[in-house]
Amino acid sequence: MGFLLHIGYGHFLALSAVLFLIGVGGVLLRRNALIILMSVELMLNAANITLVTFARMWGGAGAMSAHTFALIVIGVAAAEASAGLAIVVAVFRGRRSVEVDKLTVLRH
Amino acid sequence: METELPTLLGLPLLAWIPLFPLLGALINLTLGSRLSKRSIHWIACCTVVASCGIAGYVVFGPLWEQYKAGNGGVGITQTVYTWLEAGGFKAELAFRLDTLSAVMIIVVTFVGSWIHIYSIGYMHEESDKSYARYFGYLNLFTGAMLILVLAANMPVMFIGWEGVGLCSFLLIGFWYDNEAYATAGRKAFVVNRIGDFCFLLGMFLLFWATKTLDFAQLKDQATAGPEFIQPFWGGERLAAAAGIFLFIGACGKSAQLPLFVWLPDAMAGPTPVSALIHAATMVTAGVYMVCRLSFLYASSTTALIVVSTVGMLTALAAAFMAFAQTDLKKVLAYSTVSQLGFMFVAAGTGNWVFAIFHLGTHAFFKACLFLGAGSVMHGMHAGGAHDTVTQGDITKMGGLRTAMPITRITFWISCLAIAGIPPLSGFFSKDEILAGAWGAEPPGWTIWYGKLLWAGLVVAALGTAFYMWRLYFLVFSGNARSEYARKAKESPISMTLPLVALAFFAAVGGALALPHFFHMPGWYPSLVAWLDPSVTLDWYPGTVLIHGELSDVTTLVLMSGATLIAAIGIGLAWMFYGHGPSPSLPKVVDELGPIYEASKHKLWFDEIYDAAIVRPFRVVARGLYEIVDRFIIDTVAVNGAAFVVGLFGRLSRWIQNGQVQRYLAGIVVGAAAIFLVTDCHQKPDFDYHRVGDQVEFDAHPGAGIVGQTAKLEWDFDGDGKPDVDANGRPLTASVVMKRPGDVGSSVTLWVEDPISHERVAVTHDITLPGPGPGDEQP
Repeated sequence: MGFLLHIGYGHFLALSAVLFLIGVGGVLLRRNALIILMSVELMLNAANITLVTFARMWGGAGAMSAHTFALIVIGVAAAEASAGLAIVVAVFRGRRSVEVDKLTVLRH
Repeated sequence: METELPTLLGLPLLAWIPLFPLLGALINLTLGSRLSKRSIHWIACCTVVASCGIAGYVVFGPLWEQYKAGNGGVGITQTVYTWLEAGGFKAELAFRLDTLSAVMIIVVTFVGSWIHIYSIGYMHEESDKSYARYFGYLNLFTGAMLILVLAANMPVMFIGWEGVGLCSFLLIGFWYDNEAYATAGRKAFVVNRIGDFCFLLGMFLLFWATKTLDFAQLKDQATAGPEFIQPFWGGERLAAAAGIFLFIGACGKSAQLPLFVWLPDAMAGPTPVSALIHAATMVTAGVYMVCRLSFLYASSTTALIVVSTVGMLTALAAAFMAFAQTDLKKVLAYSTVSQLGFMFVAAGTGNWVFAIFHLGTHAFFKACLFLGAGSVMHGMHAGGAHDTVTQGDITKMGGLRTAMPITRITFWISCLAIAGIPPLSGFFSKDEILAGAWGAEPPGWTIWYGKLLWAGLVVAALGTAFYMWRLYFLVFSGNARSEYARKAKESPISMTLPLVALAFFAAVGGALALPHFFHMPGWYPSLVAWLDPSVTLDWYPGTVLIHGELSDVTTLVLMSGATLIAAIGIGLAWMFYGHGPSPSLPKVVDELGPIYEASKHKLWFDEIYDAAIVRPFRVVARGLYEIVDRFIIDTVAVNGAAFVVGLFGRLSRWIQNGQVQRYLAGIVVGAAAIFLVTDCHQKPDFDYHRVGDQVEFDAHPGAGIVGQTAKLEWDFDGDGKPDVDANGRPLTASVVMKRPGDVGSSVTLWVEDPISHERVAVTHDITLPGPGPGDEQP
């Protein structure tokens, strides 16, 4: 039961991995474009948790760059969400639907 | 002394001899369908006549000078370019004219020219397209044959050898919409291939032994060196093996036992083709080749015995088979096979000169006979016979002497010549062959071997006289036995003129080589003296001269005997067929019974081959077809490939459905696979090596953050517990220097994972290396 009592790096990394896999599963399996965007956010946040965990482990000057990188990822996630939502809205206007399995024009 | 020949348009003059007909063939085969018949036959005939003219010039001009200067055997060699060069092997496209090839090119171009002219009349009913095709092939054949005889080395000869085989196939199957004719063409090709294969084997064997295939160099080696004589299987000389292989090639081309079966069927082609290819020129290629390589055969008695025995048996068998044939051209075909047998007996008894002489005279009288046969068939056609079988059926002829006087006279002369009646050409050539066989005494063989050859040939000569005159009487004498024969007409001038020309040479050609007891004056252009320098007279010691000299009296007796035999043959033919088939004939046939049947069915050769070779071959082919073709190639290879491709196609169609999610799944699977195969979890380890008088230990705890932040502990003294330094703190450095004395027999490294806090121990037994820089230990 020790691993439940002493929260260590491993717990954070495991959380990150689980979040990432949930994100991947959502992107792969859900049909709705909005939920897919949300899943992408999950994956980005999972990456952020990893970054700060390793920053903590590493310590020293390198830790700051990892924190900075995490902040940049949050910024990129925001930008990606706005662009992605814009595309989703545009698609919805054209097709009255955001079901991604109906968007198969790449096949041609 | 070298005689330089001029060049024409940058090419050696000798090259133009075959090149002219080849150019004609090129024009007629490519543009022929757009040309009028007139231009087609003008092109074809002019090219052959042009090469005949060049041949005449080089033979009677420069070569004559050479000959007078005593260099007839050296001749003139001209090289066009180096054709192949690989390692020690070098083949040049070179042509060589010596007195032997001179005779051949004169015969080929001269007889060839007449046959081209004759074809104008004979083929005039063909459609424009086949007319061009016919003359194109005919030119191609003449060109190939000229390459064959002018070749200065064996590879070039092989070009011509294959070329004439190809043209033979093309021309036999000329009327290819008739199934039987197309089959006859294929048969000729396949049978010839068997011979060609052996020809190649003989060629390779020669090259293996002598490292050259040039005739002149081969000849030098034969007279000087031991190459042909080096022992081969059973202690026999190599010359025997090479000679026999090459002779099998000659058997195919020159229709000798057992490969003669294609020639009678070759009569499916147009008659002028039979005259040109299957009588006068192509089939003599084998004889020419044996004489060309006379030095090789002179080095091996065995090879000579094989050549002469096969020749004699062929002469006999073919003469026998000709008896009961009822097709005009088939009789002539068997007679050709038989006469070729005579030539091979001459070649096999070292009587090279007369092999070539008989070749020449035979070319004239046989071409004349075949063209005469064509003329008769043309006449029958004019009389209303429309299919070639009826046209050539001698049982339906008779009494043509009045309708076709010119054909009849020329045929009569040629029949006398082939039967060997003096003073026509056939008499002189055949008689010398008989005399040569009589005098042959191969060492190591019984004395009567030569006499046996002679006896065989005499019987064959008797047969020849009989069946040729049977043919003559059935065609021209007696009364017409069919409506067609009654209405037959003489052929046009373009056909009768060649007949007259060829009959003239068939009659007087013998004057070129009168028997030696005539003691002709020095200016007399004797073919014997002309050919002697080109064929070898240097016999390998131990082979000795198997072709003995005969006294005048013996020669005279033999000559009279041969003439008597010919007369008997003609007399017998007269008895049975003089006024049409005699009434007693059916009774005679009945009495002969099986013998007559054997002759009619060609000794059942075709049937035997069919049962012994064709059928088993067909079974094997059928099996191969079912197993290799149908199963391995069709099912496994072709359909299997399609199945695999289809499988991958279905798979990728499932993936490539246009949904980004499916693609993304691929990326995820791929990434997972990369992580799986990458060694991302490195096992901790350490190594050590000597530095100066100390030992350095390097820990390798693993890559990345995990490795760098891992907690290390060392145990150097081997007590199983982590060591501490002087201050009592644990040793955690990744690089530790130790004195050898402080290190125990085993060293342990503990690596603690910073995340899972898992401790892994690595232990190595230490064998310390001796002092010295650079010594490394794992």
